[in-house]
Amino acid sequence: MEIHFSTILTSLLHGLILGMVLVIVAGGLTIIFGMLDVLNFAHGSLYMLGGYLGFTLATVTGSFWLALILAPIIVGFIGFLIEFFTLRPLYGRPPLHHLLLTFGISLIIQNAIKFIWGNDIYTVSIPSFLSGPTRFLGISYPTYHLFVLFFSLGIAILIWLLISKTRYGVAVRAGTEDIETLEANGIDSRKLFTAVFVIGTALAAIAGAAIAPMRTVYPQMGIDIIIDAFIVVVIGGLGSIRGAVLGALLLGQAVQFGAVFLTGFADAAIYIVMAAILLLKPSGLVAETE
Amino acid sequence: MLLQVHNLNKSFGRLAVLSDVSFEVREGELKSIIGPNGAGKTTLFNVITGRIPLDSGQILFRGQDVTGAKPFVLSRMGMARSFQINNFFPNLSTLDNIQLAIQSRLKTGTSSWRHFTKGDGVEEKSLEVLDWIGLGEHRGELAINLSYGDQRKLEIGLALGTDPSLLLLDEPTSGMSRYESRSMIDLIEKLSRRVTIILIEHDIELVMKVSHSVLVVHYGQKIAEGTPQEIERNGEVQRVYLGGL
Amino acid sequence: MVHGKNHLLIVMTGLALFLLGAPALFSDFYVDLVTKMMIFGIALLGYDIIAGYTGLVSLGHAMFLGLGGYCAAFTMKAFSTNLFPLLGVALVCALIVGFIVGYFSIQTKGIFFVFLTLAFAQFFYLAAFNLTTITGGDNGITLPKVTIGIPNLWETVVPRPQGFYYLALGFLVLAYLLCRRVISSPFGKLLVAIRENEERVGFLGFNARWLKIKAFMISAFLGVTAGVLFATYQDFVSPGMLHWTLSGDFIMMSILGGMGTLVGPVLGGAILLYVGDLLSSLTENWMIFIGSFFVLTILFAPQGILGLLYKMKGK
Repeated sequence: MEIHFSTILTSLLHGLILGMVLVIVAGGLTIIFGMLDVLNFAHGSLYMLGGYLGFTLATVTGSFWLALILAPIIVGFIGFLIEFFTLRPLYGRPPLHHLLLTFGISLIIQNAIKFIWGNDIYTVSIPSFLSGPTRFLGISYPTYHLFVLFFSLGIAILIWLLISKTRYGVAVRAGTEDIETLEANGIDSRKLFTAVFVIGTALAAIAGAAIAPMRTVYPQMGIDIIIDAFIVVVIGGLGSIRGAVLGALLLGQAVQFGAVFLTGFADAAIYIVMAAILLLKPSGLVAETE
Repeated sequence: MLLQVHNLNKSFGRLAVLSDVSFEVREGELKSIIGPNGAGKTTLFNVITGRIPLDSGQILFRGQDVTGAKPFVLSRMGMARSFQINNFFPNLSTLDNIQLAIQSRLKTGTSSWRHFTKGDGVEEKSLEVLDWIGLGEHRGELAINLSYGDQRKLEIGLALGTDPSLLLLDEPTSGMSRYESRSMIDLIEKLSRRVTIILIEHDIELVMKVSHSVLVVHYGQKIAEGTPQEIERNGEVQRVYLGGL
Repeated sequence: MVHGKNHLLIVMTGLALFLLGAPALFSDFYVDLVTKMMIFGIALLGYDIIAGYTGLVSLGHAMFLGLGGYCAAFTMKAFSTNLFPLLGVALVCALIVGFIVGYFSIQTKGIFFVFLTLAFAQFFYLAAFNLTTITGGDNGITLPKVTIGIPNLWETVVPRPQGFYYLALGFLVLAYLLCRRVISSPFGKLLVAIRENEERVGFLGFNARWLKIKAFMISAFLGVTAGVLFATYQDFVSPGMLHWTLSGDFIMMSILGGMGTLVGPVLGGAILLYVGDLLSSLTENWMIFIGSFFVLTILFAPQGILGLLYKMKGK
């Protein structure tokens, strides 16, 4: 197989887009873990819900943009319900219980989606000005893919601003270390927990809705992404946002590279990397600067 | 010499918690380690018992170099330790707690097939230890339900149950009332006749009463060592810690 | 208390008679279901040892089932369809894989342990899925009928469904007795101690690492046994037997029944299999109910059914 510059560039872009989407999904996951000490197994199914909702909303309202805005709002609300009714009672229990709880919830959501939408695969249509290819640097690349890239980037930057510039953001970065300090600064930790969870799940949903036209919405979506998100979060370091970004971008490239040049065993290699990190540097690749 | 510790150094990042600490403990001795909070006393125990690694230095137990040995190895050699913050098995009964310690000294202690027989005397030996530390009547209670004073006793009982030749006690009276401490002081005095002890304590009265020798630590360095009387008279120690005793 | 003991004896005898006589009384369909329950039970016993008693909840138990299944398939192709050589090979594999995976996995705890066991299991899954020349990939391998007896002397294909039923029952009883023995042994007490406070176990003079590896290997043995039985029962093995969702099922079954009780997980498995079968004939979306029920269990009864029963007895 000949390796042209165009192949490399296309491959890089693919990987970058995969990575960026993972940044948003894994980012939400790691923030939720860092703040609430909850590993949200349901994250993948909420991403999937975002995708399916996006599809239906786009079809019903005829507006892709409306769907992109409404889907995360709806899912965020569902996230609120989950946090309020099922997670709150469990704070204080061993973290394993949260993992199992969210696992159960992921089963419910996954099957509820199957119940409502059936086993079909749906294609989401995109606004016409985003369809078709864009030519640059000698390659012809789908415009919508580029949109997803910049959209994800935009969201990531928005979140970064939120985290680093606002009072609440600082609280989130401080994590669950010091609830007392948070409260002393006038932040209601319970409300903050809820807000973090809602935002995290909304992020997953928006990623699902945005990527739907690219990948279609299909019943395995949730399961596929959750494992990838877990891998990213472990490699980057649980609770580390920068780690999630790094891990996601790396994984995006690795998956893409593997899909093009190796096969099958690329997936296996990723698990080996994850295992190595867990054994050698469980805090993840990014050293936390406390 | 039961224990010899040479030039121990340990830093956490840029903070030197132990600097060039050396001392020896004779068999049958009760040596107390005193010093202000944060002086590095618990770290010293952690390093000696293998809980955390040393930066440099040497530890000899019974003449053998045990520098860097894991806790379970040292325990098998006869070194036992109690913790400043309770570190027992909360949801097991007091008796079950001690039985684990007794079990550790039996050949069949880890057997997955051969159960204990009456001949092993596990329950008897456990009750013996319980009675010795004064917890006999609480044998069936869950450790988590004991009074704090009794929990501190259990904490020592766990170490004692392994039949050690060297016992390291980390602030056994920590958090205890005056009344509870008295009981503990008597226990330690009784113990000192049976086993070599290194004791970390803040209760100076206790220290002066039971110790054969005292070692003073400040900012990770040994600043004085001697008999209780010598330490009492030591001007620098007075200045740094005792505050006009 | 005498009444209590008599009660238990009556229940146990009734259950034993029921189980022994079931194939004669019930339809093939139920015999098949109960056989599956018993095979799952063997795997669940193994899981309870490592997860319930030692406190190391793994998300990779399915890897041992799959290992057993594929070992059986390869051994059958290679030299014999007799159950005992199949088990022999599988158990040796369990020894090796269980030790290697266990050695690395137990160096982590909690969530990291979950992830690491998941990684190992997924690795095996991908191997089975992608090495199509050896494993047949997603299509799996069809097994010939398994036989029991002594080759050249007296050997027969295991009759179905009754033959397999009694085989599974026998293995389950054996596995249960073995597990009981292990749990009440000094080693078993140490496993609980490790769950309670691993650090102190080390300070008492025990090599906790080795104890954990041993527990892991025991769970591997049982998982592999179940895997051999399951594959030879279904006459089929596929990567699905290695998938992490099966591991997830084990966790659910164990929690539902009550972890750390041996009986609990077996019961949980039986209930979930029965309810799952019942519900799936009613609606395609029966998993929603299972999921909801599981969520409710975690929220209100994390000690499982057996935990609830103990609580009620306490009152």
